[in-house]
Amino acid sequence: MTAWNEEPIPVASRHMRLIDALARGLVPVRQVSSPLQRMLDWLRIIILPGAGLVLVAHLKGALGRHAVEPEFVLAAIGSVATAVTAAAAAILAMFPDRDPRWALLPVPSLTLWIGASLSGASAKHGAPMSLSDACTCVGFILGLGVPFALLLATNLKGGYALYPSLSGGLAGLAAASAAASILGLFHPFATTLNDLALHALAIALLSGAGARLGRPFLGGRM
Amino acid sequence: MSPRPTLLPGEASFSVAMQAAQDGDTAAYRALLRDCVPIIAAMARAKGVRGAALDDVVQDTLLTVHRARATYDPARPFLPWLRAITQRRAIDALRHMGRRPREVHEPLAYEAHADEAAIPGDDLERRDRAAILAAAVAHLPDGQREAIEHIALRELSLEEASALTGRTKGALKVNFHRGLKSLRTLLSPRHEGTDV
Repeated sequence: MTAWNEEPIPVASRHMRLIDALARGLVPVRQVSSPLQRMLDWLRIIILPGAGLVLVAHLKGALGRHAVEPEFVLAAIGSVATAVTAAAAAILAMFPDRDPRWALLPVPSLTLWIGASLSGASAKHGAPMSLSDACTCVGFILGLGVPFALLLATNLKGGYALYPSLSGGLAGLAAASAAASILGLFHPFATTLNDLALHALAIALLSGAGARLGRPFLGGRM
Repeated sequence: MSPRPTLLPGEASFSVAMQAAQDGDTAAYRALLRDCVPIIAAMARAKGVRGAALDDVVQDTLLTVHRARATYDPARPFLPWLRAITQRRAIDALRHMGRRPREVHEPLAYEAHADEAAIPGDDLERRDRAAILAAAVAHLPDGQREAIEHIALRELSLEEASALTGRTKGALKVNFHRGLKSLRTLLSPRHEGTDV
């Protein structure tokens, strides 16, 4: 019988018992690969389906639309940069000794993306988009973002998140940004404010789900 | 972002020990964790953790070090890695304590506040209850007893209990529920007067 039914066990003895138990259960572990390696692994994984979709996209039309709308060029750069920086921040957050301020890495690109998108969309005064178009956009971001997020979560396994909700949220943001970047190639109409709001909703949903699932999947308080 | 930290003199031994632990060297790991205990306590104290919470932080940190040991890069200094984990666990402990009201400032509420000090005879009764429970738990099969001890009595999480016992979380859950059922039976009034 143990600490709870007899006299209190001295603190030092409690620690020694835990240490002995941990040492007894010690198994060799492979040191997790470097953040850069993990980042490259994830990029390689998402570039494959991304490149496949680019091949079937009407690239000429998309580039033509972007050429006359410089805000959307900036928005596209912002979304791609957010996907990369948010993934980097999520990966770095899985290493306890890395500065937690790395979580702020996606902020500049996210600001650029939001600012350029708002600026471009507020200049448009077209008819509100149809419900089917809206569902297509949201469905595209969620449909591509969820597998991207799962791939990134798999990539994060083996690390240890001291802030699991933050890591999960960043992973969700990275996946959603990557999906939204690819959506830009297929978007057949000019982005309006209500369209933009739906894109933002889909991205917020994925980031929120990542934050919610971060704790059970990425470690944290045991 | 801070630049990549450099190894301090003396810190290299921690890095070497941790690298050996990653390779499965039990003796090096045990020695490393023992050396870490006073360092963790000092780090937690510096974050403002006091009293019994300090020992809980040390235990939590040791468990986290165990779970996160694959994330340690031997090319980097060990102490900042340990400090990051300790500080996080210290903040968790402080938040946990902060959620429990400890001071009553309102004069009326102060007067009406129940005295939390033990009443005479309370200690004796507590010991009696603990003895009955101990006897009941001792009657359980090994798996159930371990699950009850770690999860219910020591309030460890499934992950912690799994790390300590080497059993899977699923097995612990099953043993825990079976153990509770057995205890309910053993401690039910119709069993009073038996040897338990």
